[in-house]
Amino acid sequence: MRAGKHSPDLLSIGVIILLGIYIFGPLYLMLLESVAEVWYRGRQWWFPQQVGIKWYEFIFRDPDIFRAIWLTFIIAVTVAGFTIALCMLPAYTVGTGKLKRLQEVLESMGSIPQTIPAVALGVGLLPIYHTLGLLYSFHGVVFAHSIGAIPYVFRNLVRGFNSIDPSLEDAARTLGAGWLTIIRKIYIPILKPYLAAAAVLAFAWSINEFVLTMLLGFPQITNIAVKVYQNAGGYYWSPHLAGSLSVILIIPSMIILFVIERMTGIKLQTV
Amino acid sequence: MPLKVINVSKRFGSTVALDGISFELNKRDEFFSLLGPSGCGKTTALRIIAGLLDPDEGKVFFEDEDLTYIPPEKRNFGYVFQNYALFPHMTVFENVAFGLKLRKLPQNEIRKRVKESLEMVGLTGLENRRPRQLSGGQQQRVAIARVLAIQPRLLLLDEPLSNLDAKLREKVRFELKDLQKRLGIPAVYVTHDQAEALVLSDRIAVMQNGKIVQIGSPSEIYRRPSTAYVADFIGISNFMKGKVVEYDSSSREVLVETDVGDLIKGYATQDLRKGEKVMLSIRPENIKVINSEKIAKEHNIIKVNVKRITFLGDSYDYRLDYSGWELRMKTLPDIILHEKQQIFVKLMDILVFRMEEGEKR
Repeated sequence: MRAGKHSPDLLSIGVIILLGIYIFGPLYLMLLESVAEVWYRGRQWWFPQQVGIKWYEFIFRDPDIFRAIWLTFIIAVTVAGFTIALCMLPAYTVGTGKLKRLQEVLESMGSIPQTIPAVALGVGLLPIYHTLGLLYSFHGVVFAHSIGAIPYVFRNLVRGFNSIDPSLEDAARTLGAGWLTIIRKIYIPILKPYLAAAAVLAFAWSINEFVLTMLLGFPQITNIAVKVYQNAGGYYWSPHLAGSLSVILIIPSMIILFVIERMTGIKLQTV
Repeated sequence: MPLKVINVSKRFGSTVALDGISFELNKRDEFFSLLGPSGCGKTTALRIIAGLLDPDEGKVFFEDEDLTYIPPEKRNFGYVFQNYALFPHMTVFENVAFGLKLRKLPQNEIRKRVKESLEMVGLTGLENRRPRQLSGGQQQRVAIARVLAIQPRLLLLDEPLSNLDAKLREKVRFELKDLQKRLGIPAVYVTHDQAEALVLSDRIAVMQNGKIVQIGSPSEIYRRPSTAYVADFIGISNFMKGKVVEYDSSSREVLVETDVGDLIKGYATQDLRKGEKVMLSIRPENIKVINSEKIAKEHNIIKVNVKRITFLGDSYDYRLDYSGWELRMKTLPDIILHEKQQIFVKLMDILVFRMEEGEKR
């Protein structure tokens, strides 16, 4: 810090600006694509000649795309609810330290899905789904998404249970509460911010999930991510449609993230 | 008999938390304390009484009903936790009303009882606050109000004063006892603070390593501790080693020769044999300065060096050296001594304990 007092600051500001461009540059272009009605890139690459909402109108008029949008959100909501229900008991066990011996096993089990590539998971699920008749079905896709959402949900719930003083449960019991009342009146209200965080992360995970949806759901069950892929060169080349679909994919997650952070005052942690 | 605990044992893995403890409450409004250092099993005992833990062996009776395996929510005992365990997402009112709502009482009855309970602990006007907006003392009062509201059959208190500052703790001690006596609810109180136990209790059970070593009134425990451990734990005790010279089993009077050769007469807490090694225990207030050197040949008078003098306001605390044994003496501020001065002191009310095996003092 002695020599060149100002240079590290300038350097870091420069790097931060570059990072900003690196992250937000593609988003900016995607946003432009979605509103560009006339755009000759050779003449003016940084902004279209004419902007409008033509592509959005097109999306909402196409029943196939509209169905994909609808499915995306329904699947995501179901995944969030289902994953939370699935993780509640193990998270309680780990978070409250009730079963010390199981703790480590469950903790690492909760992280495993994150380390498995979605493609590998999908390939493993294919024969199982085939046998069980889950292929191309709504709940098949929900189950598959849920596996990937487990780490986020599990960790947030564990953190939540961890934050609860174990004597609250004892106090409630001595005051006459059975376990159902304890869950309803003590745990759920205190866990609310953590449940919200878990739900948002599971939701965000699901709406972004492409590989598993493609492998196990397509063509009956498609979501926005799959549609974007189709329009961005996978099947046809329509960057405007892909762009506007991407915006539809991004905006809800951003709004929810913002609202939840405001509401609960906790910063969402994905790790 | 309100509460009866019979031969209760509890292990956690390989550690024995409770090793066959038994006690009972004698009267309807008895204030009974379990006193001991941390890890002696006192909280485990309280949790078993509450039903929050099942004992491995033994039984818990309340008014001749076997409660051993009745869940805590069916016992109607009020439990005040060390950290208060207030529900952070509820207001003071909701906290106190929690147990009442579970009892499906009508709204106006709930309001009435919450109001009464908060009045009893002197906390009216704070109904809409959340626990985190209250001071430690206020939180503690809410915790007490919350258990009083359900009109419990028994109060269980787990070091409820330990998180308060010293001055408040002193004040609340007396309030707590007054309240308990006024309501006539029997109470079991867990503490490691002997001063607290002495002030609050009708009777005290002193615990060591999962066992009860002595049960008695505060004055019995203080004046006639049954072991050196109890003498050491309750109040301040000085210890020195010696050998039995004479022992009278009928009066329990014993004459002991200290390592230096002084003869000291004391009261034996258990039967002793001549020549047996013993431990002498003397309270700081039972050591008196002797002015005349002439009587130095009498029993119980020893020569000591003044090591350190500390002024405590209402008294002096002297550290005296008796051939390597440090003795603490407490005197009124009217005696003036100097450090390194050699003085004679008389020892009174001496208790003589058999030397336990492996005791190093």
